[in-house]
Amino acid sequence: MKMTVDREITLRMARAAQIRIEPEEVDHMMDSINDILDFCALVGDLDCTGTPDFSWKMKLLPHRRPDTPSDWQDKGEFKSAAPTIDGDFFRVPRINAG
Amino acid sequence: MKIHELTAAETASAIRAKKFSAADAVKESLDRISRHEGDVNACITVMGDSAMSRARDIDDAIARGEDPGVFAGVPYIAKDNFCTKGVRTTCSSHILENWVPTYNASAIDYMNGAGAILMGKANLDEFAMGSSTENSIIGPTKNPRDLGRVPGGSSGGSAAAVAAGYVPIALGSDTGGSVRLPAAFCGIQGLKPSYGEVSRYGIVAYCSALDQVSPLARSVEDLALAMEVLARPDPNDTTCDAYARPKFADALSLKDLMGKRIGMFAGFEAEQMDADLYGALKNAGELCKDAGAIVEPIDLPIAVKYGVATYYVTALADASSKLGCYDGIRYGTRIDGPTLADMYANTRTASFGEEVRRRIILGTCLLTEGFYQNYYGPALKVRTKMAEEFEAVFEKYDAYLLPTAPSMPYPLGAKETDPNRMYLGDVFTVPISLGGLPGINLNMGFTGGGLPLSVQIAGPRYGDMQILGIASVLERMIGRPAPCEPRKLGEVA
Repeated sequence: MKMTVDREITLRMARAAQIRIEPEEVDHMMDSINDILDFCALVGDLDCTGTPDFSWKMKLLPHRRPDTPSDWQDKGEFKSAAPTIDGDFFRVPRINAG
Repeated sequence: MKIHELTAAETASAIRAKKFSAADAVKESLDRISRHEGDVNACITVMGDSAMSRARDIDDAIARGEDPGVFAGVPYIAKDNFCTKGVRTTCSSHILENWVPTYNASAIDYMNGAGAILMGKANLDEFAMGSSTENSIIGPTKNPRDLGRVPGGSSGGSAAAVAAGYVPIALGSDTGGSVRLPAAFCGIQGLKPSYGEVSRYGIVAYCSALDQVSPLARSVEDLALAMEVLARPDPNDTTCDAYARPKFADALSLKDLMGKRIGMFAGFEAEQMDADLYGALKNAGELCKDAGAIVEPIDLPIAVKYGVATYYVTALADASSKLGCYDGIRYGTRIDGPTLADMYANTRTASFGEEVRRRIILGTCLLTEGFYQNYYGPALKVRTKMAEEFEAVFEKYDAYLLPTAPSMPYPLGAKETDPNRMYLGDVFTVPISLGGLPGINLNMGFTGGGLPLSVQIAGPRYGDMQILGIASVLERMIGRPAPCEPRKLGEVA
């Protein structure tokens, strides 16, 4: 069944994706999402009654690595990639304002 | 013949025979880059010093009588979504523009282990989302065959680097056509292996259900050798099959196509696609017949009608989840705000480009109640139907000929504002990806005006060697593409 998004759903999806849309951009984003949803609604047209969901088949499953602790990697390497750290911790802003 | 005109196999052979050194090959590569990069814009990072240092190591090893590997001293370039230890890996995105990985992708380790020398990191559409290599922090890459046109995407930098003779071989990633399309547009060969043949460990994920490491080169032999290097079990990637691979280079000994049955795409009328590309498909069919194959027209009604829609539903849903990890906390760009939610939104809004933001928001939408039942769920079932359609084809045929692209490389900027039109450029490549099948773009020569012609050869899952053999027979009949001096076609006398 073909579905569309309105301004409210567009903004809600953007919030869920942690992306901000400026008020003047909402209509453009909504229209472009609706264009793609309109085209992709094709997937509902094919009769797939009794068809299972797609899954990959492999010739030989990969060997699993042993479920044991591995060597501790250099914390310095990870910390050097972080934008802001505090000692051994990644620093983040407060969760709530005020 | 000049060094930059040689294939990877010829380069390695000459270096081993001490006709020239690995240092000479690297110098030639750097010279090509410095001469043409201002026009082509294929590279995000050029690694001149480290490449030269490694070339000296390779030359020393050869002087000691050691064999550095099948790609001894061969310069190569990797798309900038392959993690490279100590070398920044940007994915053409502001969010990773200063990120330096602490490890190599498996494919990089394998190429280096085979003696190849990494010259740099190639431009791409941001996070491999695009078909033109125009959506990038360094601006668009231009097609060396005609600088006024796009090189295709998303591995457009890798394809342009090979076509312009910077390197004889490059690595790209192919999710829905991202290596085959740029190979077609730039007039070279490109192979998307079967899903599960090559480890994806260390390539930055766009859609893990489809992403595949894929080589680009100017000869089928180089693609086969790359498969010998790249295709192997990898405990770091659970989607990488553990079976013992065949010797892919043995495919090159196929002399003709006697006894082969080849299906040829019959689902589009001539007027629905570019006339020259339609002619190239017909020509490929005739060449197969001349080589002894039985060629029969066959339609793929489900794949062609539903492929693009199924691909975008699957890929966008996956992308929205994969790109959730860019939060400005552990690595990558961060733009602070008064609260955690503000920081997330500031970072992701300012650091992702428009196309990536659109795909993430749409992918998020597709995974919510209602949209999941009407889009994502049906797409999973359509994909099964599509796989069944392919299985039926390959019960009867050894390979399937179809176009790679419905149109010639288009002028820069021509399709950028219409996402649906850009997505339809993938109509012949995405079904092969959804089926997990191998597909080769084979150059079929050039039009009188100098634009590349191409055809795609697909095979059954794990039939990579089979299609490499067929491609090598056709390549011997057509001739392999040479690198070009980048130019704007209108300027040619």
